[in-house]
Amino acid sequence: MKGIFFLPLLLLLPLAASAQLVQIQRLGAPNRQFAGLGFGADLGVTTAIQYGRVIPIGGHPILLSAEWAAPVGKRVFDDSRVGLQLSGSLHPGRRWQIPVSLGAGAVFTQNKMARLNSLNLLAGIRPGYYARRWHLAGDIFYNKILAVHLRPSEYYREAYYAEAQDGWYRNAGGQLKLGLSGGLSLGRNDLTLRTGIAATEKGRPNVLPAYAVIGYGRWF
Amino acid sequence: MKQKHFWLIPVLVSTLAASCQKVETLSEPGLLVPKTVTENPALPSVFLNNTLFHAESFGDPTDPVILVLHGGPGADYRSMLPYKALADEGYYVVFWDQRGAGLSERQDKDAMTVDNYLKDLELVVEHYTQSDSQQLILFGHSWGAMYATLYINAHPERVSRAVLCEPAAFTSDELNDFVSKAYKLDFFAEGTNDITWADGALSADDHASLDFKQALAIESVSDHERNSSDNPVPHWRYGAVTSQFLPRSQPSFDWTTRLQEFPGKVLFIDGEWGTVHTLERQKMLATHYPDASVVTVQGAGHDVLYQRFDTCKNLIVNFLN
Repeated sequence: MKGIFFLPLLLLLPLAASAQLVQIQRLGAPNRQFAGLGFGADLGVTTAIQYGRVIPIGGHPILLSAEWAAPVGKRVFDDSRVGLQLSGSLHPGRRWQIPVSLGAGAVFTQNKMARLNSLNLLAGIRPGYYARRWHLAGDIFYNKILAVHLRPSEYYREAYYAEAQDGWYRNAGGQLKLGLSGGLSLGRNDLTLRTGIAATEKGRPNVLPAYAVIGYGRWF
Repeated sequence: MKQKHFWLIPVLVSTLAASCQKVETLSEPGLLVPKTVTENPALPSVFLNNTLFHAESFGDPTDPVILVLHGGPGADYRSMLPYKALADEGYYVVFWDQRGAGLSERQDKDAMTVDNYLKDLELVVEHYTQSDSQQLILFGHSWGAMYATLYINAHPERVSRAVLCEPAAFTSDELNDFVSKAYKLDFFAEGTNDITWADGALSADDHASLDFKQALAIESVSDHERNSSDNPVPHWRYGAVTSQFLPRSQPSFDWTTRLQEFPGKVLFIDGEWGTVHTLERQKMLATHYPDASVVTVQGAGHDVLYQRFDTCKNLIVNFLN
């Protein structure tokens, strides 16, 4: 019967957010829910909000979190991303841990040239030292863009290419992030910082070639 | 009763699989950006210096040659095509998309060098002129006007006259000054985030995706050009590799060392509205040439050649006559 717990896990694998705003070593603590706020440079100057709760899967505490994020700019709702993420540790309860996260989300963006909506598969691993109140770890994150729906704007069709095809395109690339993650717990509050470099899956630097996100999360 | 519908499962699975197979990748030619001359052999082309250029010409090949140099680097000559009307004025008008740009063949970044560009232009001149004595007029817009100056500085004796519309700089110092005024990085601007956020939805390293995003980047940070939004300047394709790697191939340059040897007249055309391509900048650049004049065209920005075609064409015809 234990195996039945892995069914929702498998179904949720394609759902994820990008950045965890709380400390993963909290999973065994009595507080089961958190709300978080993140701000920093991550595909733009971005604000993110998260909600998460610890759920038991196969007898292990797993963090299920949902995120909405958007960059700053004149138009607030033309660019955003959403996601759902499952996070857990391969060595729970120990100082040296290997937390992993898996899931997927969607990215929405509209600009002068096109409207793009993508489905993304995400995977992260943050091996490092996790003390009771703080952690310092490596941060490796892979964002695979499984498919993108691209609708060229009237401007693009008029000024560039009238025959541009709108529709779904598969394998629209991917991104790798490589950096460090640190965190500190103060009572029910967590502060986290993730920073590093960002590149395409083939190693070409992103337009914004680095990321740095500071997060605040409160457990309840 | 439910068992009767089990046959639907393989049908649905097959339908889903079939529909997934129809989803294209962005690298398929012609879906996101137009096909280049290597992907569409019907396009007019010429093979020079180990690359296939998109090129066409109008008029009598024995007439004085006007060689049109588009902007960018990486853009194309689509917006300058109306100037084929100069053929009716007794000129042989030649258009070509520069190396890796527009509908010309894509090239690797290693081929994007200023030396290669100069060689390309030398061979284009050789290809489209009947003899060394045939009159040659260079007509460049923006980067194309800089490119024309590169050539004139190398071969001041070969060019008869030049029409230069809003070049940015002829030396690296001038270019650094221009860039510092034109592109102020604002992380909180909508345009900046439009460019960076697109990486989350489209991050492919294929040429079509890069070209598409290059056009997005250019369009998102060109407010200083004060181009008309009502009648946008037409392009075919922004060559991302050209745009990004050609400037890096020669970070320090001075294309003015022999300009004083140039015996011909030069006409600078300035659009009234430009905030960085200003009249003062054009006058400063004109001082590099011994015999140059600057004319401001009212009611247009950096896209003056396209938006004020009749005015500019008359200016050019009068200048050449």
